[in-house]
Amino acid sequence: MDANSRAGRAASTGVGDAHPVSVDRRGFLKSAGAAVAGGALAAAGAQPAAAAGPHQGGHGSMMFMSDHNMIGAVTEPPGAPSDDEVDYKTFHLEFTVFNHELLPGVMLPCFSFNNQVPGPVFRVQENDWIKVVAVNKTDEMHTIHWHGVDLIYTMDGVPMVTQDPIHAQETFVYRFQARPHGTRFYHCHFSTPLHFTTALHGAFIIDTPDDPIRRAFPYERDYVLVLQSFDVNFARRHMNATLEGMKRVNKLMEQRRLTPATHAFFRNYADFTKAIKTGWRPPYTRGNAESNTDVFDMRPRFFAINGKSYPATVETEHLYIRRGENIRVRLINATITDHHMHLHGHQFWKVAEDGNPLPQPYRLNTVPVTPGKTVDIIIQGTNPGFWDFHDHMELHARNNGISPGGMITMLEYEDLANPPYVPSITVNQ
Amino acid sequence: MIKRIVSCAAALACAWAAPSSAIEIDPMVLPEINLGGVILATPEFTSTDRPTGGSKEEADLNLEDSSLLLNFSKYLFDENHYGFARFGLRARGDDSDFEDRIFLHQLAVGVGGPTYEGVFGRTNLGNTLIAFPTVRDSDLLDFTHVLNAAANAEGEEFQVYGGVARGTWYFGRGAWSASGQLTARPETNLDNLASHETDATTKLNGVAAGVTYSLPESVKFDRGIRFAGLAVDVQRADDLSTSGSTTIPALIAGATVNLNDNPERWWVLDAQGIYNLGETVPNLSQEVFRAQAESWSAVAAVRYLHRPMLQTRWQGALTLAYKDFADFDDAAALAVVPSFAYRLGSGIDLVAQYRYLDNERTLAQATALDAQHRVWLGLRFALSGTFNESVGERGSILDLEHGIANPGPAAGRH
Repeated sequence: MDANSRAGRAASTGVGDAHPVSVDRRGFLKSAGAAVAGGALAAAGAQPAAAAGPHQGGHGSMMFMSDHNMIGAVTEPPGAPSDDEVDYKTFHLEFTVFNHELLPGVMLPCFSFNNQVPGPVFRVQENDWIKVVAVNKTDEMHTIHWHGVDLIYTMDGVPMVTQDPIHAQETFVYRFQARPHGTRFYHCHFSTPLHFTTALHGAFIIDTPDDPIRRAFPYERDYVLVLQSFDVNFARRHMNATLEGMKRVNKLMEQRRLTPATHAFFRNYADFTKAIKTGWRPPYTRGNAESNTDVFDMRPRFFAINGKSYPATVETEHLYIRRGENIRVRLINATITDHHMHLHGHQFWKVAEDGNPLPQPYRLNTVPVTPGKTVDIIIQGTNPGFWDFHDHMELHARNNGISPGGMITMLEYEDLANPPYVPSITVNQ
Repeated sequence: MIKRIVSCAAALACAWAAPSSAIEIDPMVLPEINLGGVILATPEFTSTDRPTGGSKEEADLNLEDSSLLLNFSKYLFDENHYGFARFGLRARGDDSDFEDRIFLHQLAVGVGGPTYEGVFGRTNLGNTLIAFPTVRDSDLLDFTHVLNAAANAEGEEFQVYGGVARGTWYFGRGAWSASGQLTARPETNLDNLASHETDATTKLNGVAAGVTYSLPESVKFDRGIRFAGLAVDVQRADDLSTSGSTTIPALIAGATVNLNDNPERWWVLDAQGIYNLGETVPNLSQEVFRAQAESWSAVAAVRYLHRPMLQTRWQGALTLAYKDFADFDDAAALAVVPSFAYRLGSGIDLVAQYRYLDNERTLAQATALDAQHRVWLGLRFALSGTFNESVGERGSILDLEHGIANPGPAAGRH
């Protein structure tokens, strides 16, 4: 599957829709050429650090080369099998700056994957070999962390821990095996409070033919609900400040004048303390000079499911069910606050947490989903009607403080012949 | 039925008792508040050579340019457009002819959107284009601004600020703008110049228009032009030789050029020229004569900003200014101004400046100033903050004030 063209809306994705397709020839050739260049760059990057020893800070990084320039580079980190050794399923992701409509009248300035909020849904089979060609089309640095996936550590996407951040116009190729099965997700791990929440995140679903949840609760349809919260003003302010600052950093890098201290990267703790003693001032000591990017000023006032706030969720995010049917709902918390998803009129089964099946499902009507967690539930079609499904942390069921809004969607029975009351819309109660 | 009637009556009573705003859909929207301010204190030492011989030494503590700014803004019903109101207090200079200690230099209201902004009220006149690296914009006022042809008075209160009704259109992804405005410069009584009356009235007495190209330093650090502007400023004023009235146009052209492309060691050139087509005046002894006389001026500054790790630590600059009154022989003025700003912290600068001013003979005799040496040494504290951010700003509220280390366009934008 080419994630650019295939993976769109998260909800109502049939399980049978999960198989990737090959990238087109043009895209493949582009990627192949890039890989060659990337090999050369990676080799050059390894030279200066080799003398420092394999466990010394900075080994394998280009950031400490005195004249490094990663603008436009192609990086293929070591550790994964080559294209000849395994059959990769290739995906393409682009980091972009995007204006996303949360609901009519509210635009969210954000970073995105492929101009989608949330990013495209990956649906792969367990043990598939995955190749993700990530291109940074922004001036800011990024990485991709594959949350909950057991992979090669050089593909884990933590800046300056497992890889150099992906710079402007740089291409970075992630390769790993998709395992274990379950509801996983991916997100940018650079400047995480901003990038993760607005809106570099998406679902990474690893299926298996031998799914114990499907055996226990046979289902045909499943839904992915990515829970999101946004401070639109913070996002705009922070992105403007970040992008303006990064233009200067990138300029220095292009000129091969960028020093690690200017970038705030240090080979080890001793280098860090030495820089401070010689006049470098860490950002966290600059007080309110940095207030325009202070994440403690982040106060989300819009909450969303799969990029839409109620009532915009009506169009795309309703859960559809029939009498007697089981549906699986995969909840992913892509925010920095707790959400307590409550379904009216039903007792559902919580069947998995962090993507892993529970030894014993248990019945709930409200399930907490804390930051970084995924929760899978099975809803059984036992009570025909229209049923609210919403965050019972009621402040999150509002738009800019006005109820109802935000994280509200609906379980809707498709086989209601002539319902006596059909929902309408209100946004100001 | 009786129960329903009672219920309706009670509801009506409640409605009657409620405040009138309760019937509005949007009873109250808290505005975004931008707070800004500058405290600038400079001990100054001046030695003035008289054309008649002898010199005079003075020492002052100057607080001019200290100010407090407030801007309030709200979205209109369409979230792409906003309204704003601006309020600013300013300390006057000791040598100003303005009599009150505090001057409301910003008192304006306007509306705007992504491609336009309209402002009505008192604010910067827009009679200059470039912010030169001087401690205050009044340090080279005669060279850098189109002077007020309707007032025989000194001071920024008469020369820099005035009433405007201005519309600005932004295009070319916001880098270009075109503006047109009606201006209302403060007027003083010119019937008896010897009495030097400085009570001011404000009437619409001019028009101006201009085109600018401007990219902020944050996105433009390649070598080359970062700001350029062309403006015409037309004043209607009393004709001092005929007792009628006259029209005096002036042309302004200016540019800021990045001399290199290293944001850590940054060289910048600022340049501006003003040609005032002028009117016949008897001599140059009064401020209003010098404002109305045909003249041209050119100012250029080269500055170096030392910004290791992209953090400004100090700026050194040299500014040269020249002005000549075309209808008079030996009536040119020259100024040389080296300046230095050392950043102690965010918005806190130690500033130092020297200015040498030299007037040719005719101008020296008219102004009783042959040459002057002036030294500034002081501290500048600038603050800005935003509360309840909802609209966003075109620029910092501090763009309304002169800054010694802010290359590019002159104050007046926000």
